Amino acid sequence: MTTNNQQLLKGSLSVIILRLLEEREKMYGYEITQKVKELTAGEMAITEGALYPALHKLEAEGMLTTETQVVDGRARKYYSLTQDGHKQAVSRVSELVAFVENLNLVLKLKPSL
Amino acid sequence: MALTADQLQAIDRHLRKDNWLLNETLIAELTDHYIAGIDEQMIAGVSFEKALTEVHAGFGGRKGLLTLEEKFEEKPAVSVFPDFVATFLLYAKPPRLIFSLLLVIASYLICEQNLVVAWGRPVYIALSDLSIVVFLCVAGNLPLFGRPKFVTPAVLFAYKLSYPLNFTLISNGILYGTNINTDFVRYSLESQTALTFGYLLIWVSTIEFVISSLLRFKPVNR
Repeated sequence: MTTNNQQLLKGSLSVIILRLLEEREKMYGYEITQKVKELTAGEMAITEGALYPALHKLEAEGMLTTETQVVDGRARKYYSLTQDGHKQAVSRVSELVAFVENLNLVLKLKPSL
Repeated sequence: MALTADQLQAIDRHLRKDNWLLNETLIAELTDHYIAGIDEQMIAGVSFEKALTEVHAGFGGRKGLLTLEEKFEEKPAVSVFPDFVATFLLYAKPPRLIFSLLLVIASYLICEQNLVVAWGRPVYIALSDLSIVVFLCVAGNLPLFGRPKFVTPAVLFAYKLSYPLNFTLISNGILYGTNINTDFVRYSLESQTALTFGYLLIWVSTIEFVISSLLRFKPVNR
């Protein structure tokens, strides 16, 4: 993935996290990175250095809640959406979709996504 | 592929000694991430050492890990005000509601005996001035927050106290005005009781908030 792509991804990282957690009840950090890689066939990769600050920020803002479970003898921290997080996920995803559609119109790449 | 005890120890050493991480909560989360990442790469035929290096690079090396820890530890300062509001609202629900009702009775008795007029002025001045002093002291130290090595219990106490104290300073002005002796007695007994109750309730919840915040806080030793 190019540096430009990384920058674009960084700007929409919180939306990606909220969207993934909307689909799955709870996820842990590594699982999120792998899911993004899988969904984009490796075209998009979230770096750990960007993912965890974003997760911690969303948690501090009250959009995510966490629970720790013991898996294979070690602690695993799962993130899930709070009520506010669910609301934010819906509005932020539609905001981003609208933005991308408008961007497409401006760039004249294609009529719509 | 389960990692060996030596490899698990190597990950722990990597995070604590090689990269200077100290926050146990973060170390636990990153340990799980490292193990999951390394495990998957080893299944694909990559050596443990190379997999460790790759996962480390994903975090931006030591610098990235330390930045991550620094940001992670900034969190306690972020949630001060919502915590205070939550504490305040507890007094509208059982079991603290009983205490609130007792406070209403106490407020009525205080106003009936004209104690607000007798004691209000010196108490108001003392509390207001204290809040200003604390705020000014702490405001000068705000850049220190986010660096937990500077957050001693005393500094944290002053920092957290500044929010509710300034909130009560505002309430002082709104509820009593600046001239308690002349203005307050003009109100009816019911209004005096309501104002005094609001004032006392803010102070009671403030005290609870500060004490509970201090009890929750665990300074990080560096």
